Amino acid sequence: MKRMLLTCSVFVMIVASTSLSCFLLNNQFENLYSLVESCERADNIQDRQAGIARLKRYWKDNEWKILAFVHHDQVEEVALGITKLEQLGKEDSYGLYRAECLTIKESLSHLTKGDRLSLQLFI
Amino acid sequence: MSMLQLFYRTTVIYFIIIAAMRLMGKRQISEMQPGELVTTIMISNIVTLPIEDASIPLMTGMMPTLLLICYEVFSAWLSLKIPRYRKAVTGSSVLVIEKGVILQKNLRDLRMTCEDLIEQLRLGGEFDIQNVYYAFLETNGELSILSKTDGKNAAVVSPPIPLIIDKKIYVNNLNQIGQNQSWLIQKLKTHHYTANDLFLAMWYPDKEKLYFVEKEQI
Repeated sequence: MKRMLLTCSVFVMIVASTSLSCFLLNNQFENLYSLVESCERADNIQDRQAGIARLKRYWKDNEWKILAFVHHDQVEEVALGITKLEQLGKEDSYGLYRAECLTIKESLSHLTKGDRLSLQLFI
Repeated sequence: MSMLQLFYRTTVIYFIIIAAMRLMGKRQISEMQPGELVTTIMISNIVTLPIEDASIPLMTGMMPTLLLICYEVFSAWLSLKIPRYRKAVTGSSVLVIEKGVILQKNLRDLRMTCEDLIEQLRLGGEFDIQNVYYAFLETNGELSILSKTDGKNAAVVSPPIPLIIDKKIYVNNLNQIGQNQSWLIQKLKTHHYTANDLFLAMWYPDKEKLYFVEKEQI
């Protein structure tokens, strides 16, 4: 009975940590997504750079939380995108800058999709 | 992956596996049922992934391992409580030699060749198939052998048959000895028992006697 109780508590912990990690990740990705969107909307270099600085700060503060649950290669895609965005933000090429924003947004949506319960999970 | 990371990951996984094995119990280490074997194989594969590949989060190795252990313990508990579940998950032992006769149909059902049977008998210490009176293939894949101990002409003993295990009457075994439930209930009454009082009731065909073990109140 002691072993059963211990197993039940481990199971509850697994369910709780899984739900918590899903909630935490979705929250992180949503915030990142909105930060990238605000960078995308910025129409001059100063606003872009301010947006990118906010995005970088947020990424630095939260990267370890994401790395704890998501395959590191997938996270690297986003990190690389942010670095590229920082570079492009300094230049006057809005087309490339916007394209990079879209790439990051796509990577983030791809990461968020993996946590949603859908038929795709069973394929 | 840095050596420090490798060291840390291996240490964490090692302690998780130790905890897992302790949680699953001693039986896991020696004899394995089909479900336990599957769990052990899966765990051994899953835990190596985050050790080998640093880009895989440690959590993705830990969570499935712990989940598999939970399922294994739940399954063991259900097997204890529900005999039908146990039968579905672990199967039941099969008689392959009865009173010195090889049951070829059972061997075919088990997809076991005669060579396999002879090999298993040898592993069980019985080199002469003619000297085997009863042989059961157990759920863990091992062969239990009852030999004609004093040679071919000696009086042989039939193996005891369980009629009640953990308060549950085994009707198939009753049919095997050519009796029914009312006969068993009558027998129990003479000893002032009901099926619910018993942990085990074994029938000894040769002595025509019942052996009882009372159920303890835990």
